[in-house]
Amino acid sequence: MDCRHVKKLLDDYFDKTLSSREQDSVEEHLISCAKCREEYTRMERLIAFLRDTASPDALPPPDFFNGVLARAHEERGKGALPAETAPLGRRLRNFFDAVVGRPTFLRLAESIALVLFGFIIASGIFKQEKRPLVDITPNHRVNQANLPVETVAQATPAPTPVKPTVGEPVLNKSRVTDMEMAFKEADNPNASSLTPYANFQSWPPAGSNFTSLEDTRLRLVASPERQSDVIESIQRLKLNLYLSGESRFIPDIHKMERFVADIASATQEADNIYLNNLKTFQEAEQCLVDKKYLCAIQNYSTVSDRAPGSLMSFLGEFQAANVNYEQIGDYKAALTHYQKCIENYPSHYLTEDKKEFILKRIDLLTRNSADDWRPLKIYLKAKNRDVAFDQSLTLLKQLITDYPKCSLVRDAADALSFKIINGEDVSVSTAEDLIAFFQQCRERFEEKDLQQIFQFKTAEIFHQKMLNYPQAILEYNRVVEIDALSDLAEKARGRINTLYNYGVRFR
Amino acid sequence: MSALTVDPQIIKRCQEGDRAAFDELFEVLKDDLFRLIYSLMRNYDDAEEVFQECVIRLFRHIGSLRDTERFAHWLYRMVANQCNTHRARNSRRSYIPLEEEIEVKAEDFVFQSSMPDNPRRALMRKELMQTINEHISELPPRQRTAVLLFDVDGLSIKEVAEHLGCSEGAVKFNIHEGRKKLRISLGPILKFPMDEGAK
Repeated sequence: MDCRHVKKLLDDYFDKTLSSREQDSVEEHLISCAKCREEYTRMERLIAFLRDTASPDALPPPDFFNGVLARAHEERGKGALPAETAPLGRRLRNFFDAVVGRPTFLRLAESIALVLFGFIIASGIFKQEKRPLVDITPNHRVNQANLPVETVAQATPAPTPVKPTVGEPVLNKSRVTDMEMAFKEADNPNASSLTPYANFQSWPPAGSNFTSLEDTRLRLVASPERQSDVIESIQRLKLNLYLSGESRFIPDIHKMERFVADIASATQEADNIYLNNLKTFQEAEQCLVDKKYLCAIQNYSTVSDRAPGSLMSFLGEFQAANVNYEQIGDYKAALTHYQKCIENYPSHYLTEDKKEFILKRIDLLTRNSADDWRPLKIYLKAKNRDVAFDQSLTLLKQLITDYPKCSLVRDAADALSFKIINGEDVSVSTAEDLIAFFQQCRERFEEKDLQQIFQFKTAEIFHQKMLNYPQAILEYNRVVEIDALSDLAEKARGRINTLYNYGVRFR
Repeated sequence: MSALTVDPQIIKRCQEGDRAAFDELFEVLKDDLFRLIYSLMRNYDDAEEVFQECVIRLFRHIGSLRDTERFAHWLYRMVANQCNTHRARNSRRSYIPLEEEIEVKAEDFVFQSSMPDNPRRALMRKELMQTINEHISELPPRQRTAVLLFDVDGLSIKEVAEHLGCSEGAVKFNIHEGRKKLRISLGPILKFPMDEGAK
């Protein structure tokens, strides 16, 4: 498990929502990787900080609660919103459809009205005087000196600009911001009634291309041009709702404002990803010029991982494949990248010539016509279903013998034992041959992890093919004795236990 | 488990306009409601204001609640919206003098069970809390609410999703993003445990 994968799982690991296997893998990684461990410690501290500063050490005094209760009773006497007669979502959707479907001259008139409306609101005509809250200061607050400052500030609208905050959605169009602020400022007593929200579950409206905010975010990464359409539609709908003069629509207008803000925020996020990716892509190109091929591949991979499905991601994938193929000679990686180019991206990213180019290379890599790529060629041929069983075994043995330094040795050992254990009509002598071969390999290879793998494969054949359990226990014991791959040793211990229990039960 | 659960009979009586039932409802809810709002606002003054707004709205609009079983979701969502609206309103107030921001007033510690050892430590702790609050305020409303309800109030993903009226996937995404942003923005503070940070 690598750091990038672990970082993705860190939240779930912290919340203990991973499967026990994944939980163990992450834990193992955290033990060995200082950087991820630090990230995890920061996560633990963050939550501890949040919790530690979250609860009041004492509740307000009874006077405060009594004051609030009295004020709430008084306000209740002024009446609540009338109950809705039909689901609001449906009515709004119909309304939306009707608005969008109007003739052009009406839309034009609406646009003019919209601008006028924005202007009126910006002039502050709809601002209402803010009602003071119950005075909560005298009984338990000493800092009454603050009060005059607030009173003065409320009487004079703040001339200072809105403080920009990181992460808050920033709207592109000033009139949208004006309207949003005006609605918030209006402080209509009915403004935050939540009942209509409960009825208004069907937003975004049917017929729009956005099924949810998540979906919106993802789509906008691919097609930011949609945002202006959606924002326009919402603005039109909002204006019409407002002009209809019914205050019960105000909560829904607020909801739409938030939707617009979310779109703007998503678009901004998409822009940021695009700009970051562009920068990384340029760095990768520079690495190529400087002949730092591994660095280039790393940058291209970053680009392709950052915004999956995007054109930039596709180009990153394509370039990573090319560098692997042309400069480094890591054909396995090149093949994976080329295959991703074909399988994971929309077909219109592939121009005809590029498609031909990629398919040709994939063909070259998979059909083993490349003379300079013998180990993989042999491996793929051995795995080919059309190749006879015996020939396949010979090829895999040849691969292990001729290319001991190749990373495919492990895959070949896996393939060999798999074929013997699961193959039909495999004779005992063939299995014994392979055990002897693995024995030779154990002696020949100096790497302990490889020795352990061959030992484990031997044990597996005794266990699952020959059904010689006492011998299998002995062989698994040898696996445990080799100090290299802890997970393999653990697996062997598990098998020993199973076999032992099995023996005891059926003796 | 949500704390804001109330006997449906009380709610029904409130809907019929029984004044005594409103008093009863307030008595049952007030402590938990205040704690919840404090955990979302993380500031005494703001918590009191939002608490008052929420109770007024609760009393005015409880009549329109159709399914009394969903009272807790309804209330959670209202609280979350009120907190977000209040924060948005506050973010536009820029008239508080700087001196007032950093001055440590004795009454700020009246409600703390453990009195700070000395004024310097008190100041450090106050600044630390302010910094954390500022960074929390900078999160987008959905991420902020999801992180606080899940990590601080201990609600499950499912409960948060129900309260906020969105999918569990969306809640998970928002928690993940919110935590990530806070880890980055609070990076220097998170190098030390809370006690050391306040020293």
